[in-house]
Amino acid sequence: MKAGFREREHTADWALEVWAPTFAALLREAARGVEQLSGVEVDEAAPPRRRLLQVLASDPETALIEFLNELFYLRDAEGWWYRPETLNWDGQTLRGTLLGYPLRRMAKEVKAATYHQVQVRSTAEGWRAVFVVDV
Amino acid sequence: MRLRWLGLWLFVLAGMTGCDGGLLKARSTPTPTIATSPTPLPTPTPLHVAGMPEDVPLPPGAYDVQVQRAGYLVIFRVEAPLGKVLAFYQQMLPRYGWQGDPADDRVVGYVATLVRAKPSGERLMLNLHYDVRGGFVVVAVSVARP
Repeated sequence: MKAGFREREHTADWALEVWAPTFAALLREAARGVEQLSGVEVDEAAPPRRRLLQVLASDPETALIEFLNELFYLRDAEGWWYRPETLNWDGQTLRGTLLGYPLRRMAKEVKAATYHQVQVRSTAEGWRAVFVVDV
Repeated sequence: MRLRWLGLWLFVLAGMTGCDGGLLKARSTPTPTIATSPTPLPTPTPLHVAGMPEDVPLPPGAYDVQVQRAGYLVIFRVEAPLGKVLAFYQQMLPRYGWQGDPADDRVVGYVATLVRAKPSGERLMLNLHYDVRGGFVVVAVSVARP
């Protein structure tokens, strides 16, 4: 399975469907999808800032939503947009490193990823998720 | 002529007072009639929902309960301010054996996270997200058991 994402029709907020061969790749793709949908522009010429990521999550749904909300939190707190560099979820904690870039602008602010209607499934071909973001 | 005028006045006066009221009643503001259509209310959630961890209480008014992983991940909504739902869990969780310091609870903007544990090794994570537009809190209850 190749990794990818697409926007799904949703009444008020944005819904994203994401798929990838591994769970780490699924999280990476979810971050890429949110970045693209919200029209994030970063200064890629600036030296990136590396950060450790640690998120408590005993299920994949929590890992996905809390991972995305950590990105939104760092964006708001620091004014930098972080992309996942390494990710590893052991079933209890999501750990990894993030690479941050100064945020130049974004077309639409995503406030948070929500648990409402979140779905994460492991299939024979890989992982698939649907989640809603609050805009 | 006088009798004719008197008769006319009596007729007008009788018309103003009507048969069942009086002059005052005829002049009083009529009671407004408000046309309403029944508004569907959220179905009240019973105290225990199938799939909901038995050692995690549901706040009053919880609805739209989605059991993602029975006994492990349950998501629902509550029409209440974030602080009220947070206070409910900070108060109730110790009664169900969950230990943790409320001072460590993380509240950032419209999102709150509570982590609790039991001596037996079980871990509870509660994520509360206040939806500003909808005026409700989405609660995700995630339990890890050894």
